[in-house]
Amino acid sequence: MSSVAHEPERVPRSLSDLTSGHVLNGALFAARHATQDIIAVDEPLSVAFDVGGMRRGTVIACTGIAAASAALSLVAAATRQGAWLACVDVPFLSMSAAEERGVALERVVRVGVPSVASRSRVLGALIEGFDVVLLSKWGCSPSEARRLVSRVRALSTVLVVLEDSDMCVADVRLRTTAARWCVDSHARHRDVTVDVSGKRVRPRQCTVRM
Amino acid sequence: MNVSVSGVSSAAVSIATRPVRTAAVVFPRWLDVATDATRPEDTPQHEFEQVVRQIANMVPLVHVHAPGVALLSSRGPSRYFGGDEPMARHLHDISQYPSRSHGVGVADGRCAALVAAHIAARRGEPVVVPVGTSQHFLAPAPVSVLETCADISTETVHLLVRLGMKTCGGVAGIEERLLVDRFGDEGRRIFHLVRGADVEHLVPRVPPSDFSRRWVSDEPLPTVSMVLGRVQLDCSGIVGAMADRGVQCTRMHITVESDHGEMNQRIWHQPRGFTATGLIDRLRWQLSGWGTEAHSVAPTAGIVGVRFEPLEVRVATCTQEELWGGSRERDERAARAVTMVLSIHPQVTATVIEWTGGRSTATQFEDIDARVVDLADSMAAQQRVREGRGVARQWRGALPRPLPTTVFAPALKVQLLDQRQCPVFVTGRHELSASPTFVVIDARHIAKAQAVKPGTFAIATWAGPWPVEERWWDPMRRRRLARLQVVVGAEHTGGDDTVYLLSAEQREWSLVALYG
Repeated sequence: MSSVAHEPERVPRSLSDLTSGHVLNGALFAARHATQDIIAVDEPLSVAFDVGGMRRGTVIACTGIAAASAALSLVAAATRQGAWLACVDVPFLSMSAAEERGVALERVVRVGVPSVASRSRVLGALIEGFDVVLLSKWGCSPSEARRLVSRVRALSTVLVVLEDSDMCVADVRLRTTAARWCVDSHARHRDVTVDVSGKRVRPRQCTVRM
Repeated sequence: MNVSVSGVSSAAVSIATRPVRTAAVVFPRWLDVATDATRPEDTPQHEFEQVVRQIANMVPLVHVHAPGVALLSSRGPSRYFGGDEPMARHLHDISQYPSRSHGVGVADGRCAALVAAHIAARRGEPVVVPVGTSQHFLAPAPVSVLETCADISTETVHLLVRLGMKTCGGVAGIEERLLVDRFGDEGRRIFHLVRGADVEHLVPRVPPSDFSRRWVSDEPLPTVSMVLGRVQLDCSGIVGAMADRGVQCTRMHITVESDHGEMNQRIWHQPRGFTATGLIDRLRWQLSGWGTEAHSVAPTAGIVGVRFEPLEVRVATCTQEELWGGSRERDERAARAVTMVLSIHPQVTATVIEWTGGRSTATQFEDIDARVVDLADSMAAQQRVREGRGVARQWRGALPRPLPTTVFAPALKVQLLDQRQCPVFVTGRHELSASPTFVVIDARHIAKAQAVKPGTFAIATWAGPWPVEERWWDPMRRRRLARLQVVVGAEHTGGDDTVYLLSAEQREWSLVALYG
């Protein structure tokens, strides 16, 4: 990571530069991840993404005090635009709150996987059929997790995980801290600090009201 | 080429037909009763299959409407049993299922028969409506029966009620012209339905038989999944061919044939039109039911043929493709994934969400088994999530927004203490007996999957209490509770405020939800 940071930035100066593999690959990469590969994210959290939304084929980890709210806000816009959402092993997640945050509940399926043995097969099938998969925890071996992540990339699914484990490095990590609630007649809103980090992501900190 | 079309009106609208004498068997609460989900075959459909099999012993062609609702043409059996009354009683006796009440109704037309069966379920004995009196029988029934028994949309029924027509008799007093003006094609159907006629969505210019398909195999297929795999393409073909002509099938006759010439036939119904997955699903239901039948009727050889014969098609107005396309394909893909996931392990569960209303966030939405719904049917899904079974959306005394994201079901017992470590309670006038200072969460009450830290937390501030009095008029089901939001200060949770939602019922506090 640090070696890349010290390298002078490569800017194509002429046509000959463009033919060199590195720059061309970069251009191809940028073209492939053009706007149609971005899933929009609703207002308060869109500031956490450079491109205004989640890239398809990425793994996003939401942790901290407001993880559930952040995860619901992330997936809401996608479900309204026709994406299907599978919620795996999150029986505690309130569907009323999901609806309040704009999730289109008609395209939500909740899946419960009690046995560990078949977990990765179930997750694999869901990653194939659903556009967004929300997962409480990995709960499988590191090699299985790696296989699942490569499936996520190949099938352009978005996987949102409510834990950040060493098992698999998420592409984007949203760590929510320092929630300050504003309470008058009832708890009205709170300001949450979101630490954004991950691969190919400019690390930053932003405060959002949720 | 000279084509003569005789006896067919040129207008491509639904036409009413002379009512057929129909018997209906209804289990009103079939889907509500929780099933023992330890065995994979214990879906509501498979359990209902046992009832259907009993009825099929009496009449070969049973028309399965949904899990818990079956219809049959009663003319033949009535003649055999010597009248409608003895036939209905026999049907009542053979279609019993442990611990579920059911009713048998016989009337002219499907709608009247279903209404009669619902009434019979409440009375506990069969209801037979005499020949030619269906309109008279339907007159005092509320218009909502058109929704439950004849697939008229909820909006139309609500509008009829708002317009002052609360019973079918009220609607029957209106001219057909006016109903058609206001409700279009649906108005025409309502006009005929309240008169006790059967309404079929026939499109005269496209005979349904054009779409019938027969799949034949050279070698007999021994298992259900093999048959389904081979027939899949034909199902997509039928649905695709109909979509090309702008129609959809609402009633399908499926006949299965074994290598030894045994036949099994059934009529299936889907008010919003069959999708390819919907057809496959019904065929699976039929095949697995036939395979497990008592050996005298079960097929003795593999399956060699399946015939799909649409009985009723209608102009595809209900489920239009999305404007940008593709969404339909996404729905089908998700539905396939769910079917696959459920076949991986019997303990895997998949549920969809239904609005049930109420003031508690834990029970406002209910999970219903994904196996009993057609996931690709987006109209049904929207209705399920927005209205459920017609429960109101706005509830007085519901929680203020924002709503908690994490709910604890069942709620955990906690203690709420004041400055002197004495319990705080809510008085009869809905006031707190003292200022709450500490909330104690006992590790013993936390279930395995619940993400709460045990300990004693100092309360920074609180909001409430908000009283909830439910069904105070009913001494058996009344409920009185108070809800309180407490903010647990930063020093106890590592730099963050946490808001808990507590509820007090009969002087006991419990942690209901968490604003995560």
